[in-house]
Amino acid sequence: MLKCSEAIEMMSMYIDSRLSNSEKATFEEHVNSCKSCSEELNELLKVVKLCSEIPEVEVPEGFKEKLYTRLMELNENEEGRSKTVQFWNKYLKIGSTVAAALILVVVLKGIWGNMSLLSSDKFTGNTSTKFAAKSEAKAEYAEPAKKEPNNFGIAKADEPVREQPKKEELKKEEPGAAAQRSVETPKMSASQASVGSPADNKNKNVNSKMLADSAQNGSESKKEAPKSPEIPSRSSNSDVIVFDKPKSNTIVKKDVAIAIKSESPPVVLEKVKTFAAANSGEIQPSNFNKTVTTSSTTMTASSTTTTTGSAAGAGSTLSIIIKVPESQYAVFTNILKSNIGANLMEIGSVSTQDMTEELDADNKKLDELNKSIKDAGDGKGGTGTQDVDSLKNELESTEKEIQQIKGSTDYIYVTITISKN
Amino acid sequence: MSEGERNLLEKAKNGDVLAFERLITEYQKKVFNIAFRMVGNYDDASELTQEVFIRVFKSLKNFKEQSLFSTWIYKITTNVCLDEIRKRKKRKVVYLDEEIKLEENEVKRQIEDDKPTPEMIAEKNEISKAVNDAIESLSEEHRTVIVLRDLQGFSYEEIAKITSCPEGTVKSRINRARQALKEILKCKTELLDCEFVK
Repeated sequence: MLKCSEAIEMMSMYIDSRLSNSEKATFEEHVNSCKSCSEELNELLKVVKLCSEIPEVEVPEGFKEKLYTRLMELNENEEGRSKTVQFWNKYLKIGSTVAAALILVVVLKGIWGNMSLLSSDKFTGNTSTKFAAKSEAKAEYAEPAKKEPNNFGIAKADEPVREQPKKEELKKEEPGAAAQRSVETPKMSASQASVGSPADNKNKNVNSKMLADSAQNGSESKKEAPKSPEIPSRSSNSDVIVFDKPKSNTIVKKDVAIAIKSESPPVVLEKVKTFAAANSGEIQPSNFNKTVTTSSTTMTASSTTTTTGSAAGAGSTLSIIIKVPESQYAVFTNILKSNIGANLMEIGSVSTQDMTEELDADNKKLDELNKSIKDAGDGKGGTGTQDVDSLKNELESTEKEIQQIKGSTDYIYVTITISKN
Repeated sequence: MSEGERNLLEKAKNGDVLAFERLITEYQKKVFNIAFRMVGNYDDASELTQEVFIRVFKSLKNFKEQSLFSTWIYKITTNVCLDEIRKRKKRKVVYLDEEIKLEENEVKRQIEDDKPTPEMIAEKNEISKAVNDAIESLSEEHRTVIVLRDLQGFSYEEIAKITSCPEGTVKSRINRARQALKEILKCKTELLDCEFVK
């Protein structure tokens, strides 16, 4: 037997004759013996009938004529636009080839530059973080954006400016994607042709600017031409080194030490852990200390930290290492100061470590291990499966190390030591 | 699609406006009525119908004949109407003279088409108006399926294609929409008590 709820679900299908014969029979059997369902069905039938009696209205007069006019206008606009499109297409091919070639040159230069950098002096102590570079790029964006509402011509000419910082960041990270983008947008391509490394930029700027000028057909672009050379000079004023050293290839690890004096270190430790959690901080396990090589001796000394935070050795000094996202670092330290007391805290300065060498060393080790495992497997070197196993363990730990190093960008490792007053 | 229609479609794709207008003639009235019952306002419906066909014209190249041409047009119609309804929700504009205009037009049309007696016209108007108002107070989704199913007579399968919803969803939506409509009419009028069902 059908339940009322089931019958109600079937009502529309019944009304629209979409039930199978057996379903129909079951439904009718229920409705015939159920007053409420039978009423419900009747009401729904009435509603459907009322709806079906709503008259159809005629299309308003002049509708077709109006549509005709609008479609004809549309066609005319399309024709006008297509001429411009053909015009642009001509320069699109030239522009995109030039742009792709330039990007390739820049990328190669960047890679070559990076390689020579590693072999000479380390890239250290640079306070120019990605963050600073991004805000630099943002400042670039703000200027052209202001000009946009005034004149479409100027907005177009601004694209060389706008594109440059974006391109600089992009080319270091995704050269392939940047090249792809230049092919995609026809409008941008001519202006993108002016992109290049600042050193080479001036010469190429002249050529591509000529292209852009003739394509854009405006004196506005000439007005804007002096703008692009400004960018290299701007970067040299600040300590944000955006162009000379490619950033994405360098892995840095930032560390800072905070020393706290307290009557009751365990209590403070608990507080610290709570604040850390509230600010997206991650408590680091004790063996993490391995890669830390800063001058602060307290850090390497207190390597007995466990995730529970209670220290075994060193008497009543507790320590903990917290990995805090860079963006949260200031908030985190402020909370500590206001809760624990700034007078009881000593916050060191953030030091930056270039981990690229370590990373490269680990990568090399990885390659060697892989080779050894392969050789052992092929029966070349090795003396049996035992060697392969230990090799594989080493491989795993090396991979973990690499992951750790890679994961350390954009974070600050805060080592907090709490000692008794 | 018939040979003739295909011919017109090809011409229209190349920008032939006259060919396009001939092609869409048979869909005009339905599109307009869907728009009219979805937004409840004659002038808006006219404007929206224009927009529907302009969109159709612009996107002719995108029509890959995976669905029926008509289904594709009604899909665009529904979307345009829903966009308008959502825009209005934000604006919350009330048209004060809408009701009067609506009635006038309806009477005009009815006299031309049916030639019923004045009493019948008045009564029919009343009912239509009540039902119209009730439909307009339904949710977007319920309104859409009622207009498509009970006013325009599309099948469940067609509605599923037009609204890009699975058939199961369409089935339950139609049922719930009718129930919702019934509740509104029950509260507002005594219509359901009258002898309409013969």
